Amino acid sequence: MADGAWAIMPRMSAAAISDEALVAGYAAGDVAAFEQLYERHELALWRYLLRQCRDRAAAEELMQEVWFAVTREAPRFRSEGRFLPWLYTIARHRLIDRHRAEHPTQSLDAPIDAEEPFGAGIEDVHSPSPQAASEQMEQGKAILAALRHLPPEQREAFVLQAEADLSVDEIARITGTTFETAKSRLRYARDKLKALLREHAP
Amino acid sequence: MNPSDEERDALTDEYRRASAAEAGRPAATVRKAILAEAAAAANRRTPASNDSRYLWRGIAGVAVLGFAILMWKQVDHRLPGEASVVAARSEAPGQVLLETPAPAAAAESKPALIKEARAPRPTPAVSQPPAAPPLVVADRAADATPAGMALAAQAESSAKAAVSREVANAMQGVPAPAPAARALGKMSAAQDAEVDADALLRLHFPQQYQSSAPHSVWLVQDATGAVVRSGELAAGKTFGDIRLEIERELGGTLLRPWRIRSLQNARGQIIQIGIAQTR
Repeated sequence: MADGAWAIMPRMSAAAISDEALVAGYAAGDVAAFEQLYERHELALWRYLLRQCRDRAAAEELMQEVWFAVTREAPRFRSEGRFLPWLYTIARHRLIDRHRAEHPTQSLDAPIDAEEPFGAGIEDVHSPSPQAASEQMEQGKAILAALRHLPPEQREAFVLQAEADLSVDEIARITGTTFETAKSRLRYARDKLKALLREHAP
Repeated sequence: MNPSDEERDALTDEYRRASAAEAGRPAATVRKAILAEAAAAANRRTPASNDSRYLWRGIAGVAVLGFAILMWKQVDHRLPGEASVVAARSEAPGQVLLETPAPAAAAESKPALIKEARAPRPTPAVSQPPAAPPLVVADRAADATPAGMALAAQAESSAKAAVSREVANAMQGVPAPAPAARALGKMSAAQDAEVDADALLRLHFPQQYQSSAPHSVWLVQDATGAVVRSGELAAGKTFGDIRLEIERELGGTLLRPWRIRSLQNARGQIIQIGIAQTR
């Protein structure tokens, strides 16, 4: 990213500044650009990490590791690339590293908790409240529970699309697969989620 | 948008709502740590990394340094005692032959050279001095009258000057060129020779290159530049001795004159290296 592009930023609205320009700004020493970038992607990245590792403490550690990596690597970020795929590639690598460290003999493709009965995690997340249990909330809890029963690669593809709004092509690049494979994973993920929700609909 | 897309969007929207409600936010300490690290990393980075002004300054600095090194290399830093002497050995008998004088033998070599230069020469030496009155004229004049003696003294003086020029030319190892051309040629050749000698020293004498004592080493290259013999000059031996040994070993193959350089090794010690090529 050229310095000139960053120089005109103060005159532009915050929404108009691209992620890539913010990374360039931060690389040039503007910490406010980083803060803006963090604000934009904090929650989506947090939810992606949480869905993948399902442990808040671990997700918080990963969150720090990923953003620390961004602070280190920002000067080497190439302006012709998009920031979001880059960010999620870093996050995915950190997840894989952690998984390998914790489960050195377990395949990355193995479902984390395939034996867990459907809906087992729902009560863990929110205490049942007879008064507040609206149909919509129940539906949301059911989706999250169903998500946990997806194979990891399908869950990952779905979460990347739903949380980060990434394209199929970007998901394919982040996960190191072909476009067709990423597309298939997304389709299977949705089909299974719908089937699970239908099976356990009240 | 087809029904499948609507369904997908509904599912995605439902998921997003549920996910946002359930996941909440990371702890405030996490956010604080990340932003603090971002500020620290920005401070750690040198401003030069993304500022083209610093890049140009860096390039300019390197260029100036390179130029300074080049200029330094153009100047002959050798001390008179370390001066490399290119032996000018001629096939013709009686020609001036200069071996690098060993420190002890250096004093003796000069009279010998003058004596040899005075000797009659059937063929001209590498460099032929300008015509000077032969010494026999001076000898003959010395037997004559006072006027003749003055003439003889003048003749001898001219002859000595001629010998000095010849020795100087022989030290250069080439016929005396025009002053400007000689200056340019000498600088370039000397520079190349220094680089060659240094590279050969590092490559073939790594032990001596790292040694904390002075050494004298030699090597012989064939016509392609490959090193066919090398070794260290033993105490009491001269490069001339080595020449004879090598020529015997190589079955009568003659060596070109030694090019002898005095270099500094990695520990600042003087390493004298003699380099000769087979003819």
